Amino acid sequence: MLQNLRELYRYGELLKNMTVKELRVRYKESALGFFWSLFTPILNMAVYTLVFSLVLKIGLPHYPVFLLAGIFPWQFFQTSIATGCVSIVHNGNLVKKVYFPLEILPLSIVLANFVNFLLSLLVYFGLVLVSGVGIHLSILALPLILLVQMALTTGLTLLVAVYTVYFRDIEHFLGVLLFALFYGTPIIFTLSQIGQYARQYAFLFELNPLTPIITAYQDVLYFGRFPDWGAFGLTALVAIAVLVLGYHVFNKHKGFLPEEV
Amino acid sequence: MTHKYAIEVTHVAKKFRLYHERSHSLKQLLLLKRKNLYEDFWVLQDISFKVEPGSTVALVGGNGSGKSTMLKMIARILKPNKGSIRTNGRVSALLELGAGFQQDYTGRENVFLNGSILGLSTKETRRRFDDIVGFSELEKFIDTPVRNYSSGMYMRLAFSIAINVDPDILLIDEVLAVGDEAFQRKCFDKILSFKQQGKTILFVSHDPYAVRRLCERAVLLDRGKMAMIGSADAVLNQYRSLLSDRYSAGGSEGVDNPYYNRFGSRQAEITGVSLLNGSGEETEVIQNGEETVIQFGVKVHREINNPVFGCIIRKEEEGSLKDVYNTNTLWQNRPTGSFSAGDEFVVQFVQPMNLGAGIYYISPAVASQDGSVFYDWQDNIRSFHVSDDGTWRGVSNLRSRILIK
Repeated sequence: MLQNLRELYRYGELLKNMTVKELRVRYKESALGFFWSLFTPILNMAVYTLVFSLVLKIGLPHYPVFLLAGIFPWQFFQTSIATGCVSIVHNGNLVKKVYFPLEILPLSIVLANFVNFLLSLLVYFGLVLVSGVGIHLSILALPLILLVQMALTTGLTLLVAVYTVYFRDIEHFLGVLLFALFYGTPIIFTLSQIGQYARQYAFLFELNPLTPIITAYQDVLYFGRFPDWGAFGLTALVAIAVLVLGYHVFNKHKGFLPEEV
Repeated sequence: MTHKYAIEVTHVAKKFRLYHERSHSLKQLLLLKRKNLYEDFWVLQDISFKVEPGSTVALVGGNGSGKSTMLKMIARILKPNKGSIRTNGRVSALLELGAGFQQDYTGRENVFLNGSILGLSTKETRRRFDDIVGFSELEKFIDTPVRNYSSGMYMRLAFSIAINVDPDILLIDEVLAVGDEAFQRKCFDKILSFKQQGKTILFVSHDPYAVRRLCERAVLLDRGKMAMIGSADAVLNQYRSLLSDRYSAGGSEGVDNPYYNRFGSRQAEITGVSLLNGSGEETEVIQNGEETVIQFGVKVHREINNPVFGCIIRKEEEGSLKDVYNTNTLWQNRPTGSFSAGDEFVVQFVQPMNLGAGIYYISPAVASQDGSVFYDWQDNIRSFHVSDDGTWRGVSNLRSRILIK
């Protein structure tokens, strides 16, 4: 593993270049560029606000701000997995013809989405100041939360990128799974609301390793309080384990991926 | 201290999985036992050879001999299933030019992206940038997106990047067969200068002229096994006799080019296709203008009267084939006679090969008197190269005499 990491380090510039390429290709020739990636979450936010705050009357002040605190990190997670899973199979020609550490393909996708996410957080801070929700001391915990989500997302993306080479169905299956997972994560409502209104299903949300991460974002960005360190710490351990597992599985298979693509 | 070889291949074997159906989905996995999904096929078995630093070695062998797979393993793209491969120094592989080019990037941006794919740091690429652009002769277009490049410009840029990686070991897989003749020659010269600088070159080719000019030694692979290792001349001779045995044995067994197709009623059957050069030797490479015999055996199964014998020559261009010459006994108004079941004979098409450099395919056919029923048509059964003498360019040699009056 150490040898693989050392090689990845040597190819650091390729990782950087591929990440930049990802970002550039995504927004090529569109005048609004990056703002398109804000458009989807903001549109989602508008719809959910309409449904859940006006129709169903979820009693949260500044509900749109709350929504975005969960939707932005969710979008980072969801897009990384969905596009990362085909990162090897869609680059078949490159993979078969040139030697380089293949993990660069999924990693560059995660990194590009992460950059996107950081930019959308800047927009979020603007919104927070305008709306009067404000920024609190708890913001200091944000880098840690970002790191843990990054670890979980990277590990999972590496796993799906490898297995999609062997089973192309995973791409389609993931679409359905991610759709379900969105509603299995407290994004449009809080975890305590689940406990209040649907106690019997609360365990499902608690099993989801994304729950403490998204909740932590909402805590530090919206509620202005530090996260529940117990639940978050446990998720952090899971995230690290997934990252190590993902990297290990990827390296075990990567020598044989070019002939399977 | 032990001697350090540039490349050391020890008892290497490689298997591929041949999937019965190309799509391997979860459904299949659930419905079938996994072992029914594929068969293992050994493309290479027990390959060992060593390459001295500074030497130029050719890897020779027919289609499907495993030479490209061997090269990919040395380039670390594929992993051997058995044995080991050791390389000593920076390796650069010219397997496919322009893999990883971004259509929307300018030439300049692609130089940096492709450089980093090939393992160069930005600093290293910057230092080589002028050489790369200079060699490609694309100074004027370097800030144009490559999607606007012609295929020739694209190849030129890609080759320039790959060759300027400045490797200690260069692996070349017949890339010289692409691009126009002028650029091919330039690439060849660049590779020669590499050789003069004392770099190690491993060269996969079935062009004996190029092999003789570049290489002292050669390794012959035959259907995945080591057939011979020795001086380039000796190996090429062995390769030629191997080819001639193979093709005169006849049949379509072992034909594995993607263009091959066979149809017909088999009232008469084509049994073997040979390509003979001016000295009557079996070959895969014809010097432009050389007297060439395309020869095929015919075995008659049911009586036929005045059959038509034909042959089409097609040229490979950017992944597809184009007819360049087509003739038959019907068009030439040449009666052929009657044959009864059990007759065996040979048909020869004799012509000077006045075609431009490139890869060509032969399609022999036997048909009924009026050409309405095909007895046996072996479409694109085998390929050959034409190499030129450098005095002209184009598709066909008109043998111009240039007079100044």
